[in-house]
Amino acid sequence: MVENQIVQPHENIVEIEHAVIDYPLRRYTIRAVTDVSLSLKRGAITALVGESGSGKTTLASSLLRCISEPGILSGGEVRFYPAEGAPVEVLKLSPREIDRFRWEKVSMVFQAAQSALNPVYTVRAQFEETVREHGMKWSRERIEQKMREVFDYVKLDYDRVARCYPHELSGGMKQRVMIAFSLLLDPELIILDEPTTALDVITQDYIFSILKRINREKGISMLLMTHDIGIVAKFADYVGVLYAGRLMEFGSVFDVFRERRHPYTKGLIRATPSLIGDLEALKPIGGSPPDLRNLPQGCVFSPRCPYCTDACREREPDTAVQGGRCIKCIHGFEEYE
Amino acid sequence: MKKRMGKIFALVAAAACMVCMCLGVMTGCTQGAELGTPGTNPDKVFRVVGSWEKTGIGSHYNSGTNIGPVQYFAIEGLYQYVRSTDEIYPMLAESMPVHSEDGSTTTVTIRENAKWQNGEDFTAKDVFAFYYLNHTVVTNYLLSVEAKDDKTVVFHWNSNRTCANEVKDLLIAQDMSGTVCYNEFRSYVDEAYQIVSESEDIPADSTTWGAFNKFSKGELLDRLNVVMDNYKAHKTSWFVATGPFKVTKESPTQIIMEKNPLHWNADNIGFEQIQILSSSDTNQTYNLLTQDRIDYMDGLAPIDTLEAILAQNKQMAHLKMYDPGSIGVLFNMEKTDLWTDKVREAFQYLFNREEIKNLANPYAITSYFPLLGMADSEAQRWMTEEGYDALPRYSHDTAKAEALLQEAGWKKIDGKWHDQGGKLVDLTIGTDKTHAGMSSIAVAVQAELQNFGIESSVKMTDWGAWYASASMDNSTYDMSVYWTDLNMSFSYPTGTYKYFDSLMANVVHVNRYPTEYEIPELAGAINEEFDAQGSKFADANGKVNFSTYVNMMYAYSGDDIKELVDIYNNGIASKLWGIQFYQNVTGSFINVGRIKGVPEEALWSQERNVATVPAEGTDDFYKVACTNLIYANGVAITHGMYQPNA
Amino acid sequence: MNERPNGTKSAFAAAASAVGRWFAAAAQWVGRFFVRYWFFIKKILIAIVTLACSTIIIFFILRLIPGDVVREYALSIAQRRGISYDAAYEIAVNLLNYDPEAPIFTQFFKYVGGLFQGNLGASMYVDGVTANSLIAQRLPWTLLITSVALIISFLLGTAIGAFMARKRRGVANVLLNGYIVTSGSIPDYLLGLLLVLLFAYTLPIFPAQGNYDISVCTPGFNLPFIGSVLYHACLPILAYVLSQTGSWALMMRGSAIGVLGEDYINAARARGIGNMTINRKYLKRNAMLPLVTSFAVTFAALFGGSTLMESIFNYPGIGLELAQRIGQKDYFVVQGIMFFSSFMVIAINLITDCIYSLIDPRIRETNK
Repeated sequence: MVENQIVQPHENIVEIEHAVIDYPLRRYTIRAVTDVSLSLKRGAITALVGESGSGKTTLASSLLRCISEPGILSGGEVRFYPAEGAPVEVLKLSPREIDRFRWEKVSMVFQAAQSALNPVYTVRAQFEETVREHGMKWSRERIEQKMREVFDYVKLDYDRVARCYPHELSGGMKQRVMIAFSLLLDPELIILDEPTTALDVITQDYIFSILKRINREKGISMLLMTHDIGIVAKFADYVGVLYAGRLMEFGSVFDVFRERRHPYTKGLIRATPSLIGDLEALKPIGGSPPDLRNLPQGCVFSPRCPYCTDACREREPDTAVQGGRCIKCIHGFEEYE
Repeated sequence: MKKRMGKIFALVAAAACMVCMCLGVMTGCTQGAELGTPGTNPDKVFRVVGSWEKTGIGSHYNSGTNIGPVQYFAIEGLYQYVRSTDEIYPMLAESMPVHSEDGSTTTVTIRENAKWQNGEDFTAKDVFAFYYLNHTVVTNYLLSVEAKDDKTVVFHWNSNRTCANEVKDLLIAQDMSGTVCYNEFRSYVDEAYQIVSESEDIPADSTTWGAFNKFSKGELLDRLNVVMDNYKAHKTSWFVATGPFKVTKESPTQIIMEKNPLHWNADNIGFEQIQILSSSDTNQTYNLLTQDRIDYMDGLAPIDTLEAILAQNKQMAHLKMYDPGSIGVLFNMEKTDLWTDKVREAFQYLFNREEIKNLANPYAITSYFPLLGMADSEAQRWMTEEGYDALPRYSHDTAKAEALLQEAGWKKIDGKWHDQGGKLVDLTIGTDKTHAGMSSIAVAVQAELQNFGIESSVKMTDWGAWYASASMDNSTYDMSVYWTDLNMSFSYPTGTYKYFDSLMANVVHVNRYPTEYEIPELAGAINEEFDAQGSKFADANGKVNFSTYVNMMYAYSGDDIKELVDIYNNGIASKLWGIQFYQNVTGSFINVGRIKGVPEEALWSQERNVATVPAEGTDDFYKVACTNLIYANGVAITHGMYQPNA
Repeated sequence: MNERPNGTKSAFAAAASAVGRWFAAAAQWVGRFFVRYWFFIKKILIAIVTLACSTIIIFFILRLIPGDVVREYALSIAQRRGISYDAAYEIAVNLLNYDPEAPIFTQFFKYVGGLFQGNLGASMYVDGVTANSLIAQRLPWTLLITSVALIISFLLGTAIGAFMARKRRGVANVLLNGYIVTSGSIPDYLLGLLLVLLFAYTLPIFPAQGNYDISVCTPGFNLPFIGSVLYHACLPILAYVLSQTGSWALMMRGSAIGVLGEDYINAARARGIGNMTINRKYLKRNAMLPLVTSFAVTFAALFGGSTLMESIFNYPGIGLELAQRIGQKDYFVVQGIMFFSSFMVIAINLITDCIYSLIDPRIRETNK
């Protein structure tokens, strides 16, 4: 009997363990990400939430090992589990291997698509360039066919857009082009760094519906960075909350939003303006964003936490883990209100 | 498609580069000349530096192009005179001219073996052709030039325009008469001769000058101008010359000349090739000397440079010779309030001429005369002893200068001199900044005036600008530093006086007859009178006017010319129009290692920088002048004086 | 019976209306042409006006130089031939093709008239020498040196600049920085003099002057001649390259550092594009855009020749020729050469303006 030994792919597609990312500047070093461990489930949309400067982009770029200069990864491991084959230690790949890894396995849609394309080449030229750089010997017809396919996904007219220069496209179109671009080589994971921040709400919704469709139909995992809770609630399956480079809370969207264990999460959700209701009744989180050069001793959220205790101010709390859920608070999974 | 713009740009750039290179090559192709003889013995090459018309030296001497040093080695006349000594060498002529007893004709015999560079014989008809197409100075004294037979030329003199026999020799000698080949320019020569014959004679009593005593006007003059233009523009297939070297290769930076085996003195000429290099400024020329790239250069260099060149190039020597000119100060006589007689006399005593000379040209000869009308060496040659001794000489005596200024009414207040009106004296000194000697003199003059207590300022511009400003009416210059006495042609008077008349007199602003004077030939001429008591040249008032004899001096010789020069020089000196600081001395750099026959061997074998200037009339005086190619043309080589040291 | 007059009339009317329609169409086409290409036409008009102004200025400024042409020429003839000043003056008057008495406006209109016929001016001293012939003879030599040097220094400089932008620290960076500062401070003619001293006199490797040596070759399409030309061109080109590379490198470095900070570099790296491709198509291609204008402007300036360098190397280019002719006060030829020079500068600037929109797609103002 022929045994169909289908080796099931690992349930996680990416596992990050104790990642530490530093930005060594001339006079001091900023630690952008401190001891973050999380796993991305295969086929799911995981969101990372946090204020500007919380380390979302840095963490995501570390998956592709293209953290913007002068950031370096000082510690931790990043493991990628491809659908077939052995797991890949991303940090140990050689330069040639990382070039193949990028875009074939993991692709990224950047934050400001305004200047993410080379301004002196047409869209089609840049698509073709990527294909060729990866050593794929596709014929022109095959490239065109693939481009039509991915353009179709993002609802762009190939005949019109392909021969345009980047400055001839609108913001929304450019963002869709970048999304189509990320699909070009059939990656297993797409990282989206605030893909709709610069766009209006209607386009935003449109793009997310596209993304959702890609995720369902192609089974591509996604890592979504945003600071918009509403989007997280609507589109993501899992969510992680980052503050000052630390993972404050992680879990399924349902669990995190319903339970709101961490005080920061609580504050975020409460601060979201409601479609109905009084604008004056907004409840922002008190205090100011953390200065990464001058972090408080103990829990980094302590200056702004309404439930802060003396113990919080003494030392940084450990991360409490329960199944796929984790919380970095002194209270852990207990009730404290 | 459009991404290839970058590639296209790079291709265009590369193509432009290739095109430029090809253009450069092709341009060189079209400027090429015929092949020269390969395999020349490098010891028999004479190398000089010069500047010439870079677009091409043209096809004949009178086409208007500057042929530069080619003139020294390819162009000859019947004779060659040596400037500053007036020595005459026979070139195409066999011997010195023979003057008839009555002075009405002069006969010149041409060498049997004189040939053009294309092989044809050089005949008297070619001399005839030269004079009818080039109306040089001598033609003003001639009735006609006759080609009596192939090798005999007869000059017929105009009895109304006499000149001394020595002058006749010099006038004939200063023409480059071996430059018009009759066979080549036949049509122009015949036409010009025709026109001259048809023109009307100048009447005996008229004082107008005209070539061959003819005056062409109206339609004849127009035809003559047309013929001259056509002659000038005529292109021949060979460079029309008779000299010992032919131009074989030419480029904008080099000329190569090969020996002409047909030359009348070919057996005596040891050199086989002349190389002419070019240089774009003086420093490059000094480099050429130092690096032994050239064998000769005329002129001086600043003393440090001179020593350095001789130190680095151990084969180079430097000989000195008189320059028939003096440098000094010219007063602007327009400013009559300023330059009163006593003030001008005071200035003669004011300056330390020796020091100024050492600053400007240490090898020059200091002069204690005022502006004289000729340089010191010339004055010695052309004046009587008494006349020369009678010339005023001014020593350096500041006390006397002060006394004279005070007599003039000037006062020294707070160490600064004020004129008789009480105004502070502030002089403007103009000069030509391109002449190194003159600019250093101007600065020295200012310094000495400063020490003496007179304010002054120096304005240096190039020659054209200086002359324009200095010679105009109401010029701002009070005085100028320039040549006081100079002569470009032969030494026999009246060269320096005419030069003064044409150039320096305008800067000095001497008195002139008005331009609409009743006597037309005196219109605009100098109107200054000299004391001539007891002389046969004096007029009723015992005076001689500058303009009376200045055009007539060629007619006098022997004692007469000396008497005239005495009157003129003493007269000009008494006018105190300027100050003579020194008589200029120039020199020639010669590579004594490669050239045999350089004069003054006893001196340069001891000290290659020969400091002595040979005295007037000595043997060395004549020989050393020949080493200067500007003075003597290529006589040193043509007459076999120089031989390669091979 | 009476149809013929009607027939004629209608035929005439038809013809007239056809002509009228043709005119209308032509006028429409002309109008559309102007509107569509107004961008280019405006530039061309401005260029023509600039050229006219420069022509006028050149003409009048030359006339302002003090000094009398005839007198100076006479003096030089007197000295050359050893004859008296008066005799030389007569010869000078005959030889010069110049009438100093002619009123200045007549001269100007003659000049402009000549320009329209393509005749840039004839020399006063030598028959047959015109500005056209001088430019044809000399300009290729100038271009040979300067354009080759420009291209080499541009390519070298941009490569160095891109390298310095990528690697901000390191020994190479320090050395290159030092070189850029030094070469920018030393004037190019001084560098030329130093090179001549070192490589032509102290170590006689290269010739000190001239563009080729006729004692070893004959001009023509043969190997010795080309060899001689290239041999003589080495030092001048080296001098130019050494002095100009620094400024290109500096410009490129500044531009490249700006480009390196752009998002698309990082985005390209995230796509797995290799370093070499990023250097070429992303970094250099974008950083060079501002330099293209500089390159074109510099190239245009080459047509004026560079007098100092040509003087030092005694290289017979258009700059040296122009300087010597100015010294001789050969007005007409000088006018012609300067006109040509300004024409080339203006024309090349115009072409660059138009081409730039082809190179940088962001600058296109006309529709595709």
